[in-house]
Amino acid sequence: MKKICFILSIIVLSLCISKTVYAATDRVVDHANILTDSEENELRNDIKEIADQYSFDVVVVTVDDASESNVVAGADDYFDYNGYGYGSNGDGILFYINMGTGEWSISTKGYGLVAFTDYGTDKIGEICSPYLTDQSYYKAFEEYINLSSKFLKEAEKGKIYDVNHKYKTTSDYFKSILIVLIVSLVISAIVIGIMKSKMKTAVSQPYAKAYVKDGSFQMTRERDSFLYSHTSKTAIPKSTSSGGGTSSHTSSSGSSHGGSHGSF
Amino acid sequence: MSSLMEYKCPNCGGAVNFDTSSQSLKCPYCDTTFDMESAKAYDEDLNDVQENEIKWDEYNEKSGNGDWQEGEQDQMITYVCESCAGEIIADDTVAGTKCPYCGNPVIIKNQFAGTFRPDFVIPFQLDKKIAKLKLKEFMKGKPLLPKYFATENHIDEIKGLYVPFWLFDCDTDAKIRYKATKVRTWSDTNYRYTRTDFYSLIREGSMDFTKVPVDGSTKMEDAYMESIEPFDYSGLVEFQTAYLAGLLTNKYDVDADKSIPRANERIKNSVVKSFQETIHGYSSCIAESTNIKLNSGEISYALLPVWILNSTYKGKMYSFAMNGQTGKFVGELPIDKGRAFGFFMAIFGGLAVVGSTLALLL
Repeated sequence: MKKICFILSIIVLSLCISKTVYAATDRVVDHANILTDSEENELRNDIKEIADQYSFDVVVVTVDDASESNVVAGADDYFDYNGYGYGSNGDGILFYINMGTGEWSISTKGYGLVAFTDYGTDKIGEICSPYLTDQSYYKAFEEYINLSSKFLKEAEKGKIYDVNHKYKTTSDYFKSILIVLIVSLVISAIVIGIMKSKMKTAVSQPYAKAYVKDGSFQMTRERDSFLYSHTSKTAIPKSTSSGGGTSSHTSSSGSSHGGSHGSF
Repeated sequence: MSSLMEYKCPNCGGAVNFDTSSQSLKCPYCDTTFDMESAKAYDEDLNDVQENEIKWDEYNEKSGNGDWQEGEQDQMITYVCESCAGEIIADDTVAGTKCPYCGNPVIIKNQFAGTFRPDFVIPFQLDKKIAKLKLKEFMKGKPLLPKYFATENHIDEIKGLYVPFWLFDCDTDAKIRYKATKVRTWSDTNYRYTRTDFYSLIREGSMDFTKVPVDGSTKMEDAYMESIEPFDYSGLVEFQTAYLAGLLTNKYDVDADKSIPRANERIKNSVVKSFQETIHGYSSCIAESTNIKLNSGEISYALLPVWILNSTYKGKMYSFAMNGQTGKFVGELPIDKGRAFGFFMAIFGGLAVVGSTLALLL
């Protein structure tokens, strides 16, 4: 009986170890089973390209755990306890979604804290979470990997995306061009309006000031009396703008992480 | 003991009750509270200042310098245009003239009759050469002007014309009630506060006007005639038929009575504005009622010198006018729609390209 227990515990232990080792090498972990095998492989290929080029770990994790209370800690712990991250600092980024609670969290570590500022992880979340809401999970992860690559590329050039160097999507460009067009339209309409107004100089004169007898204007009585007053108050909007950069928190293992989180 | 009185709320005009708890007056409709003194003062102001129209003397043959003297009208002839029915007065030395309003060459001579004798005239000071020069100057630097307008234009047909004006003299006493506000803003950590204090202002004073002109001819657009103002009245002389020799005169078709509203409007606007300019220290100030009393409202009739040109371009009449005494020139030029569109697209295109490039790069 003791022997059986021992063998069983060895098997369980080895399974656990092999699972951990396997997880540390696999960058797409689909516990929630929302991706097809071919989709997972596509994502792995994209991740490998980034790893080869930047020596930076990009990870996708899905879980289905309705009892999880803290999605941020969940993502950080998954990062730390599965040995992700390149080099001694554990450079990497991990996109963690929990199907059970409908929450997502992006966790960065090491060089990830440099390349992905608070603005950066917020932006990635902002772009990817609508896909999660639409249940286009593959599209969300594909976009996340694609954005990670772009952010790393920009960071390598020394121009990290942040509040004063914003990442612009195609629709952002369309928006700014639309604004440019509207402003140009208004300005040219004003210029033509001024040109047109110079074509007609005959206008009615509402006053007769030129005909006031010199020195005839006299005030004989002036009285100002206070009637009543009204006071209104409006709440001052709290300023939420940050100066950029990355804020970090410490995970249960004691390592420093950055990132963003939200729900879908 | 004050008697039971009903006051009007200065904010909404509703009937106001005395609020025993705050010992002040409180409007039941808009919740505005104000003290007894303010309410009394405001009530006095309301009863004090009533809207009032200006009364003028009637203009007839006896007004001004009186009626025509015997024989004075003999050399004068009325011409009527067959095309536009415009009437001009000239002496019999003027021959073969075209209608100055529409350019039609057919005009019929009529017996001169049915018009008051002008009291004053300002003789022409500037000649046709200057009028032509000013017109050319006016057309310069106008990118939207159709290319051929300047060349096709019959600049030579610019004509000197005496235009009839009614001149309104008056001394005014005015009492104006303004509603004014003072706005103060401040803020603490959570709120921005805006306090608006309302005041009732009374201003009394006097202002005298000399010869406010109103154009007495429908053939002359009011906007044009007002734009070439003011005339320098030091050049005003008593009317003599000799001044009209060889020149055209527009016959008035708007009598003094019908010109009064326009004179009143300009006088009233000026008084309100001048009074308002003496009010300082308020954020806003609006005249709520004006009472203008006229002490001596006298009307006179004068002929004032104007150079005019009416030119048709693509079926629309474009007019130009120059003050024949001071040289002030006004007018309207046609707009070449194609050129306007071209300019619009050029500016729009340029801005759009530069702006979009910047938007993509930054």
